[in-house]
Amino acid sequence: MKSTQIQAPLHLFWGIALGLTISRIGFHDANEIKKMFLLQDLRMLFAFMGGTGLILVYFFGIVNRFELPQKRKVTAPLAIGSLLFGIGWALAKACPAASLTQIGHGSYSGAITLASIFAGIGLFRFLNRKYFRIETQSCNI
Amino acid sequence: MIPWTTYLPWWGGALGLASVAIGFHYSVGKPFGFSGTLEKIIYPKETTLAAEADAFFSNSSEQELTALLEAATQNAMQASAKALSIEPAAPAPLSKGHDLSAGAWGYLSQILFVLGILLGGLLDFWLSSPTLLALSPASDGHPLKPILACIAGGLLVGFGTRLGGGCTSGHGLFGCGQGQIASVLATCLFLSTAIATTFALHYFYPN
Repeated sequence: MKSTQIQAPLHLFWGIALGLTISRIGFHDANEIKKMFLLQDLRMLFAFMGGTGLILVYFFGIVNRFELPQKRKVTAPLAIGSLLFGIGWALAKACPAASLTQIGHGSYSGAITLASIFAGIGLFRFLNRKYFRIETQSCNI
Repeated sequence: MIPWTTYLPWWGGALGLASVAIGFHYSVGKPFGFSGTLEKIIYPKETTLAAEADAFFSNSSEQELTALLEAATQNAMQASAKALSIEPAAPAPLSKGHDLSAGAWGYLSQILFVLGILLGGLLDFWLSSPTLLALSPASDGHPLKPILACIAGGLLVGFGTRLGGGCTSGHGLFGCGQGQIASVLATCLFLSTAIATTFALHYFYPN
């Protein structure tokens, strides 16, 4: 990994790029999300799948020498967490990055969603530390 | 010219997402997972420590790390050394590659990433409609009362992404992109659940 000082402006640059890309695709637009999840308009789904496909090519075709991280295990927390995330995404019509993009477009709902996401994260961390003690397999680097 | 009033076709979106993901990974050297980024922001101490430790290990050579480990072992065994009348070695100082500010830079990176996405959205807004940004109420398209939906949804998203270990970028883009079966499963689960929930909502609140 590159030095942390160089990482900082890179994060800003790629953040802007990501915000623009999400906006141009329409991932922040509640109506578009609704159309996608009602399977009426699969444009964004294909964009997501296509993007993932290209990234696959990058990792396996070009980046062979890069160390791929450890195999992630399929666990109950992974499954349950993903289910909850899916329900939440359908309700709020925004995934974490999209909610920030919504705020950039001036939407109150984006701000409320983001605040709630923070609360949800905090709630999970609190409960996990105190009661669940589940290993979520995500390292904090 | 990219038409700025209509959304990108699917292949344009695919190229865009892939460019950002690949560009980030290539230049920064690691993937991103946005729910993880949000978590890191609300736990600054932990993030700073992790970034510092990461920088320390990256910047120290094999020999420096071995020497440190040796010195720490000898320190820990000082009592035994005394009993056996062996002179304990002086502890080696931390290598001069110890970047104390690495932690702060690591945390700042997360903030800048979040800020960047916000700016990206703002930029898109300005390029689409050259008016001053005005805060608007909850976006339409919500079957339930918008505010409640956002709060409930947001809570579930925050809780679920950390329990599951990632969101659309972490599991979806990078997890699947790296061929992690667990991520493919997670992505299928949250996509199908979102679709099912939306159908259910639409059935009970058709609008």
